[in-house]
Parts: sequence; structure tokens; C-alpha cells
Amino acid sequence: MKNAYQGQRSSSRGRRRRGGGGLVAILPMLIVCLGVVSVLLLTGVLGGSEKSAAPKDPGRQTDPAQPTDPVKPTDPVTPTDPVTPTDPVEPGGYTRIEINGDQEQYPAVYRIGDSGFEMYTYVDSTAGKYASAVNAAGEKLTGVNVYAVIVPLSSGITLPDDLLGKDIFGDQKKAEEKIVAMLGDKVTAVPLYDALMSHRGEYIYYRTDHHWTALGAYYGYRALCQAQGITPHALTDYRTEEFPGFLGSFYKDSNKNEQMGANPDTVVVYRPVTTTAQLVFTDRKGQETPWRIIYDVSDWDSGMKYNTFIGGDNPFTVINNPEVEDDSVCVVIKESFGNAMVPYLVDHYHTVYVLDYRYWSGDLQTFVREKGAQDVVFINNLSAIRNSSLMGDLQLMVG
Amino acid sequence: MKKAFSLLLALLLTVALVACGGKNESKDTTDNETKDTGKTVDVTAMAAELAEKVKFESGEMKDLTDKMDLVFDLPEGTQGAYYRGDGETKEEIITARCASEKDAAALKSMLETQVADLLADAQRYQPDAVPRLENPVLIQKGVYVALCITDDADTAEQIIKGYLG
Repeated sequence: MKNAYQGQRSSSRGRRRRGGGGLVAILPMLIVCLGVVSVLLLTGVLGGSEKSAAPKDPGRQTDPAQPTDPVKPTDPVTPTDPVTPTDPVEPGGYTRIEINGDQEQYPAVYRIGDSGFEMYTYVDSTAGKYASAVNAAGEKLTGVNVYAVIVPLSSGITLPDDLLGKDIFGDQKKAEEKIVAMLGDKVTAVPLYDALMSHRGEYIYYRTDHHWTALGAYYGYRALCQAQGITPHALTDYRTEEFPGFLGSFYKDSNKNEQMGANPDTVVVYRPVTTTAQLVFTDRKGQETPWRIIYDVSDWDSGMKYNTFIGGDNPFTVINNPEVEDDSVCVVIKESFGNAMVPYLVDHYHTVYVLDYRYWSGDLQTFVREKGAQDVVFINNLSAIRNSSLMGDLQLMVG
Repeated sequence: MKKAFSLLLALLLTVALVACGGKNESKDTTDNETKDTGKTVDVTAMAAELAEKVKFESGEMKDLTDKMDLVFDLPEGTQGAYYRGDGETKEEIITARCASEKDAAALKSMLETQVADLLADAQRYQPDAVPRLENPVLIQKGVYVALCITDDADTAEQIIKGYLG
């Protein structure tokens, strides 16, 4: 007699014979088919998802909230008042600055009353170029102290608090932090955000020009001295002089705004303690010219008064101070913000060389070795550090 | 039912295989188009001719091709040439052959940004350079890109088009 199991086996065998053969045939095909379809979906062949396979744009990486080209000319836009910032500002104990005047945005400047502010966008790729250049200098110049002074703009420091964090004014504290984080251990970073914020109620930036004042540069000098472990001169050690009537780049950028014109800046200078230091600059035509560290620009055109500092932007400048009786040499690599800070360094070195990397075409390493410099100081502002062309110039110089 | 299911799977598999083949074909087509658009262009010769025949305020243009990678984030596989005048004039020559049209388009976009940044700096510090930066000669054709910043834009454009067609 068949046992129950045998009966079941024969009946199930029968069932399998009816349906199982087809399943066995289909299954491999099903697996292969699903595998191929999965691969194709992942590679984007099916579904037209070519975008997902596209490489990242090798160009700019910008903060999502920032415009990509703040310099592109557009019709001036007057925002409505009151302005609501997207990121509330934490004063952090700093002096609060209120909006004081009407507001207007031009292609290259934002005006509040009689004061201009440069719109700012952090660009990670160009910040990377800056860091790469400075780090390369640190690596190549063994035995030399390399410093990176990073200068914020007025739009990051003296801009009214209700506008700090507005999308056209990128966060310069965060930008500074990102840049400093990129610098290696062969470079001493000298960030200035906190140092300048703690003095933001003072006249540390011009209102009608994009530069900082000599007072702002003095606080930069103090920060550098702290990094170097040396004692800075007190502000009262310097003889001061004033050159009123300065109407700078923001005045021009705002189509010669009437309020700015009615309230020009005053260029206050602090002459080096030394009275015998001598400066010679080599201009863009290669001509050498003896000049003054601080030049009396009283009678100069209203737009030219920032050139009181070290003769302006020349490819090469050398300042010798016979009152420093050692062989100390400092090489400064800068664009124009550095001009206001160099006079303070003159009292600390026998020789200061100043190279404007936009115009000087030599090799930094060769130059530093030839001159026997102990210190190399990069002084660069955040606007330059986001400029791909300028950072390319800096990289060319460092090599 | 099973036959229908099997047929459906077979059809799906066929479609998938055809899609693969289709992608390969389009890639080949792209490569062919790239080659056909060129006659292969000697970008080094193009840059050298620009440096020689175009009038530059800088006088002699310096060949900085060996430092091109320092200044520009070039797409992988790009070969190019780079000449520069003195820093004040902002005059430049850049010629490049990229690995693909897509890369060439990206490079062109990067150079547009570069010129905009040069212009921003010139507006503050070198006003004499502004006119030439407002009218750069920047041409992309297929995998090739050429930029020439000069007041002698007509000559530059003529030379570039002579090479790129």
C-alpha cells in the first residue's frame, strides 16, 4: 500500500511536472534581465538621466545663496525698507551699527547714505588657489617664517548689523574660517575678523573707498606682531597727519553720489617712528624712483589720496631703515590693502621688500633666498582671494 | 500566461541590449563628430602665431605654457598653450584642445569668469585695460577653445578662425 508520503510525492511530482519546467526556464532569463536593467538604470542609459552622470562643473563652487557674478552691470536696484536679514547677526559683544541713510545698489557697490560697501561672495575654488599658493611658499621657503594676513572688507565688518548676512553680503567670518582651515602648518595664519570687529565703531574703513584706513591697517599690524611674538608700537608713538577730501572707488562706483561727495573721507596717516628710512619703487615701466613712505597728498586729486602709502601700487618697492642695525629682511606680497600696513613694518626690519604680485613677474623663492629674508608676509584682502585671475597671478609668482 | 511572461522578459532584455548598443553608437558618433569637426588643430602653433602676429601693448608675450596648470583648473586631458603680457595690460592668449566638447564648453565658461575677474580688477586699478577686457576674443569650436585679450581683436579673431574654421 502506498504510504501517505508516497501518495503526496507522486501527486506533487505530477504538479511540478505541469508547472515547474516552465519556471526553471524562465528564472535565469528573469535574473539576467533584471540584472541588465538595473545596470542600465544605474548608468543612466534608460530614463534619459544623463545629467546625473555629468561631471561636476570644474569651475566655481559658490555658496548657494550667492549670486555668481556680482560685478555684471545691471540697472541699479533700490531695495524696499525695512531690510530683513536672512541670518540674524549675533553681535558677540561687538558695537552694534545701525542703518543710517537711504540705500541703493549699483553694479559694484552698495550704498547706505554716504557709505559704500562691496558686495561679497565666497568662492571656494579660488580660496583654494590662494591657500595652495601660500602653502607652496611655506613648503618651499624652509627656514623662513611665512605669514598669511587675511583682510576682511568693510562689508564684513562695518556694514550695519541688519544687513550682515543678507545674500549679497556673504559671511566673511565663515569665509575667513574656511580659508584659514586650508592653510598648512608651514604658514602662520593671521586672520583679522575678530580684531577688526572689536574696533568696528572706529574709523577703520573708508566710506567712499573699498580700502581700509591706516587705523584699520594698524590693527592688522598689531595682529601680525602678536603672531610674530614681537611688541608693536603704540599708536601714540607715531606722528599723524591728515589729508582730507578723499573720494575713492565707491564714489566713482556710485556715479558720484551726492551724499558721498558732500562728506568725503579723510586719509589719516601714521608716519613710521624712524625718520631716516628710504624708499625706492620700480614702476610698471621699470623706472626706479626714490619716494616717501608716506607722501603728502594734500594737493592730489580727490580720487588719488590712498596713494599716500608707499607710492601706490608698484611692482617692486624696497625700504631700507638704517636705524635697524641688523640684517633683518621682510618680503611682503600684497595687493593694494597691503600699502596701508607696510609703513608699520618699516620700524621692525632693516629692509622691507614689497612685491605686488599682480605686476611683479619674478620667482618668489629665488628672490627670498637672494635677499636672505627671514620673514615673508602675504597681505591679501577677501575680494582678491575670490578673484580667480588674481589668485592665478599669485600662484604664478610662487610657482 | 507563462509564454506571455517569457516573451515579455525576452522583449525587455532585447530593449536593454539595444539601449546599450545605442549609447555606444552615440559615443562613437560624438567621437566621429569631434574628429570630423577637426581637422586636428595644433593649439600650440595657434598660440604662437597669435603671440607673433597680433599687436600687444605688452610688446613681447611671455610663453607660460609650462605653468598653465597653476593658473587654470583645466579639465582632465586638456592640452593647451598660454601666453601672457605684463600684469598691467591684462593681455593673454589661451588655446586649448579638450577631451570632449563638454569639457571645452566648461573651459570656455571658466575663461569667461576669468575675464570677468580681470575686468573687475582693471576697473579699480588699470582703467586702460578695461576696453580690451570688455571685448575679448573667446571662441569655442568642438573640442577647441581659444581666448585672446588684446586691442587688436580683429587680427586675433582672423587667426583663430583660420585654425578653427
